[in-house]
Amino acid sequence: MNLAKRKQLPKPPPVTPGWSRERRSLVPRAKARLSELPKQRIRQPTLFIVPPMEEREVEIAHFIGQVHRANDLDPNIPVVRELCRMRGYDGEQQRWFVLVYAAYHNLPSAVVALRLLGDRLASRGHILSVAPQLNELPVTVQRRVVSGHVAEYLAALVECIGDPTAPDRLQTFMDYGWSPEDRQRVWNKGRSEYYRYTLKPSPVLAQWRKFRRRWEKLPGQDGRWLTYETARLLRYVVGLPYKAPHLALRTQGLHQPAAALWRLYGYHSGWGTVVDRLAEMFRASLWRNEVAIEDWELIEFAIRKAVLYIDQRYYVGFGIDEMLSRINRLPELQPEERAELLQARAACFEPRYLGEVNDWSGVRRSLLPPREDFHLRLLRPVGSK
Amino acid sequence: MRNLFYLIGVPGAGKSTIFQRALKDIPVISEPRPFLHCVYPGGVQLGGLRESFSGTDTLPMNVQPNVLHWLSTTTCANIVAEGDRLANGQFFDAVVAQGWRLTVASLELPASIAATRRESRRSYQNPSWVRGRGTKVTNLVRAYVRPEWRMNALDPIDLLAKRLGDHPAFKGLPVESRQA
Repeated sequence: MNLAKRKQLPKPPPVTPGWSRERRSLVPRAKARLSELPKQRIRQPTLFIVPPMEEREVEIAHFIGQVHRANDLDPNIPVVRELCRMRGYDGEQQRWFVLVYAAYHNLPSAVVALRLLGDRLASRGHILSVAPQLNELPVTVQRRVVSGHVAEYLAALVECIGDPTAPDRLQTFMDYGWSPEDRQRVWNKGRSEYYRYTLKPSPVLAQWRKFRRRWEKLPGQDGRWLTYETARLLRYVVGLPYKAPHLALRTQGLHQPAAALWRLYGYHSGWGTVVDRLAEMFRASLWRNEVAIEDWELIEFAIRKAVLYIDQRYYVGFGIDEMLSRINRLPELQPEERAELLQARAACFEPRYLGEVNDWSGVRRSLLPPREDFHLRLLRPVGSK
Repeated sequence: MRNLFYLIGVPGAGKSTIFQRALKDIPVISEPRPFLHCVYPGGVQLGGLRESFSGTDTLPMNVQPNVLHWLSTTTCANIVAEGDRLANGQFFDAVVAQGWRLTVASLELPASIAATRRESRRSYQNPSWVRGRGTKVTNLVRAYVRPEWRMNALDPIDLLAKRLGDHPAFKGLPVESRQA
């Protein structure tokens, strides 16, 4: 075939990979329909919404700074630490308290459970012997997956940990795989180290991944959230060097912070690397506005609180009041335990945020704008029974 | 009060090295927009970070209007910078007019030692251009640098870094890695 003839042949239709023949046939029809529409309508710009972080960056950072200074980013952590200090717990007891608290994620319930189980690693048989009482205690919404069978969850966890009578059993279980050099490197983390483990895998990141994989395989883990929560508690309460190098959204580790970031920046992307970048931008915006929160564990809380603030569903001290309402609503809590909890709260928070001092018993609705679906949106299920 | 600290000096004086030492233990986040800058807790360093020709040398030649506009709108209270790109009288005057408390520091050392340092890092710049930088720095020192901020580049690097770290613009806020 000569060149002139080849030019006369009709061109084959463009093929879009992955599209079926039927779907391809729809394209010309859709184009024809578009051409029938008036041009002005087609060129009309789409609705432009300014993302909150661009318009209200200073305001949001100021609010997060206030929440952080009030110890309200995660108010349970300082109280757990203070309780450990008040009771004079050693490392093993602290670790056990952390595990029990993480099972319920409800501080008064954890205190009652600790009374039933003892303040050291309990045996499987002992846990199952008090199972009815343990299973009746309320859990928070984050732990709804084990609601009603916390005892079975704890028994399975203890079985994974091993012989409870062995000395320092929990320490051996939790510190598995950490060399002294790794610990030192985490604590002495400088700028060069930061770049090293954010850009490429390093021993620190490898250890974090090892920790995560190990904990995710335990029974009753609802996704990766509890792994992060346990690591956070072990770090802040016991002082173990489990430090998340980022929010791990690039490996789809957590969904809630990702959803909150999409909301804040008006950019919805399922690509984890992009969402990680948004998290970094959020952290930078806090730093620019003199809110020096470095840890990703707290940044995750801050992201969520920022969205709640935009929705007018949070005020400074909300989490502290929520804890008080849980204390007041748990009948199993004995008077001395309640007094101990209130004493720990007094040591951790400023008096102006304490309801027991200023005469309120829970979340203050008067500080939030009235709304029709108020009771649905504001109150999280404290007892999910 | 908003603080802006700027370090000037001839090529090879050690500006970037001292900056890196002063901000050694502070984590930073690199932000590409509206121009490249590094955010650290409580402040911002203009320009990017790299092994050689760091700081404002990483910025394009026409960046000055963008930086001045950003400085007039930012809520950040502490800015630090080093390098040749923005070191000029027009920039410094505009910064002062915007209400920033400007501190210009200079690193001074003999020309022969600076030349040796440049050779050691393999930066073979045009000699007449280098002389021009020297003249520019000398003029800026006369106009903007207070005597206490004229620093000898031959002093120990830790001493110089500590001197910079004591300035309010570098202090920012202490990183609160744990809850109180």
